[in-house]
Amino acid sequence: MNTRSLRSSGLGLAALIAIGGLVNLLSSSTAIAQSRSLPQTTHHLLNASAPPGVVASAQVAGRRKGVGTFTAVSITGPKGLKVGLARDGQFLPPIDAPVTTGMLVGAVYRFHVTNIPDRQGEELFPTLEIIDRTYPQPGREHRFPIPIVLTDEDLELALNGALITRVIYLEDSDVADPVATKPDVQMTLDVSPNENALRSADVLGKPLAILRIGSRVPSDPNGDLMEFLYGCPPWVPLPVAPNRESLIREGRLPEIVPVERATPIYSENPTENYPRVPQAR
Amino acid sequence: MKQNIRAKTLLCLPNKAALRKLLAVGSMGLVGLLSQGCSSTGGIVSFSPKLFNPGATAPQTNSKSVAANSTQPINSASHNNSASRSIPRTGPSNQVAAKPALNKSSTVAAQNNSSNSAQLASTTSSVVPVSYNTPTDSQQAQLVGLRRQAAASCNNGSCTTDSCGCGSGCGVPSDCGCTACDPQRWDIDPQEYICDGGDQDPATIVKKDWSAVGIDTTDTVMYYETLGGKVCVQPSNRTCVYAPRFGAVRQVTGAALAANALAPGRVHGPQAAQGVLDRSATGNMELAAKPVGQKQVMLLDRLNDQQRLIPIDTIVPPTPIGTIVGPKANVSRTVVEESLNRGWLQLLERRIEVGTLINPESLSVLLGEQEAVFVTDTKHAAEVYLYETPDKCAMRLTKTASHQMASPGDRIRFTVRFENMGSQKLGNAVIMDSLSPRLSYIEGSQQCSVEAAFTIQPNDAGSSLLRWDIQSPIEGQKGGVISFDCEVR
Repeated sequence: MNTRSLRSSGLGLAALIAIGGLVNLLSSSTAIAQSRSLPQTTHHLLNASAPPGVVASAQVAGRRKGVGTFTAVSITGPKGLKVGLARDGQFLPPIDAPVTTGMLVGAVYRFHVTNIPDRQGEELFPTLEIIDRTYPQPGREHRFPIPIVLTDEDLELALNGALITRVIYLEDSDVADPVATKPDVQMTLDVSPNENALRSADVLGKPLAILRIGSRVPSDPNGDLMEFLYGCPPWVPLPVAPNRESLIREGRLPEIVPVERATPIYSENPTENYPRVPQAR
Repeated sequence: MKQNIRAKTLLCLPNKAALRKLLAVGSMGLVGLLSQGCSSTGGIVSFSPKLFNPGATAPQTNSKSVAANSTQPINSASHNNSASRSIPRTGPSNQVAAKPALNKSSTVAAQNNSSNSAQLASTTSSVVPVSYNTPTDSQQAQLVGLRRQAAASCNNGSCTTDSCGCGSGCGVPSDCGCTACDPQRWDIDPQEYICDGGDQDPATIVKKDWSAVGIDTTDTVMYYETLGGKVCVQPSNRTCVYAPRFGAVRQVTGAALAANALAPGRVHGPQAAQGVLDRSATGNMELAAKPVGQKQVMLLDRLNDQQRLIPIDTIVPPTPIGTIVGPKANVSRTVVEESLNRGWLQLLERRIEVGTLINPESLSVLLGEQEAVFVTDTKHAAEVYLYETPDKCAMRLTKTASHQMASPGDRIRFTVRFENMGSQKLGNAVIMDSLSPRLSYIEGSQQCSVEAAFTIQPNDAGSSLLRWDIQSPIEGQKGGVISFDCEVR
């Protein structure tokens, strides 16, 4: 074997090693990528654009944790908005928002929205699909409800014929967006109609509820509304744990004036007055 | 992108990270002090070697007043008047070559933490209760709140019993129309908590220039040097605050006609056995795990080695349990007595056998017909000598939060307490706290009971990385307290 053939064989061996390493690197990186994320061709079974009840039914059928229990939900909106829940197949008289109640995970609720600002006399019947729950401390459920926010823009769009789907999710604290928020303002991410809002919410956290605001109205308000109300699932009022101010206002707790710091009997600095003796008043 | 690599919780895949966090957080108590609960968010914060070098960059000074002495006693109001001194370097000299001197004159003042305590934001509830009546005739749903089953659809809570077939668990509709039956368990979702503290993976590593790498988001660690020159890294406990934050994904489309109303269907799942009722007289028989096979032979050889002076006469082979005629091994005396009281005379003649029973399935030996002697000495050690080496990492770091629950906009005070639990002094102590992305450090709110150089810089999560360089060595049995305020985002 001459020198040229040796050189060529060496180059070939080096190229082979390099190609092998490159293939190994690509395969390993592909494996890592596949282990961390779903392929792009994945077809998700659940979609926020599905009819109300589909996602909740999947949760019930899968015996997901929390299904069948109540979770705190608060329906808020612009000032003056009235919300009426349904019971026994009929809507109850609406009351001022916010309305905080306990709703069943895995059920679909339809409620009555009236007294919409600048659209007096018009009404909406949004649906609320509870698909998961939160776990606040016992007795504090009323303080951390799932916020269902009806914004002016959403109500206006719905009255004009659009269907607004809002997937409310619990943000993962570890990957939270480091921006300051306020309790009365909900972070909202707009997605295009061809995207899956449920999937987007699942990436950001844990989807809890799906709110759909459309233009559907009952055909006969005085007739049988059980189908329109999705079976009229039960809800429970939330026992509000009284805070200190309310207890004082009701006279159940004495109002105690904060005590100012008393003059210390002994000097706190041992170097000033040692041995310690009471300070002269 | 981190958000893209999250496992799906609802759509397709189980969220392994969430499960891991749930298992970890599940071990905590409900007081908010968690240990290594929430998962790390990855990323290594690397510092410039000159960043904390006093000769290169002067750290930010604290504007608070200076405490009288270098260290503050932990459990006493008295102060130590000894001047701060350097720790003699007895360890390898190349370990911490560029760290700042111990007795460097302080450029930072510290303040006693007893003054100017910030008033925390009020967290009273502003929820308007619903004025509807009780949903059902039963008042139970209202009384028990959300921790009870969905009694609204049940008849007076009758589903709490097994009579209507609700044994299949929560959330499963049963034959009697109940939606859920069992009382709701108190559970935890780590995503609802803001956790801070501990040392998430990758672990913190101290470099020669006395900077650190591996300070992950939400980490709180302290590293220092012992008299023997050993560099120790001490993470704090993990403290969590319940502060869920909600968002929404909005999609605007044209209204679609959907006449079919879909509701969750009823699911009839197979019911598992509720329990096994054992009525046998020897129901409480307990057989200890005995070595079998090769392990028994090894034990026998080991016994032979230990009993060289006393020859083993007989090796009693193990007897299969099926060949025993009398009561089986380890039958409780109580059971026999109870059986006799009940008139089970067939056990009377075997009573003596019970008193001398051995476990027939275990391998045993007879040593010259000597009886086994049980050692029942209950003497305690009269004195305990505790030797502490100069390399002992004796620092304890605890972190607590002022609130267990918070809403966006609330102010939380974190308190970091470090204590030297040993008798040797520890020096060059540095405390680093990388805040969660849900926390925003309030400028000028930090206080430290000892002299410390405080610096702040942004971390990878969009929050802040706080650092305190303790200027003086920490004497044994002494420590200090650091507190700072954060606003919940």
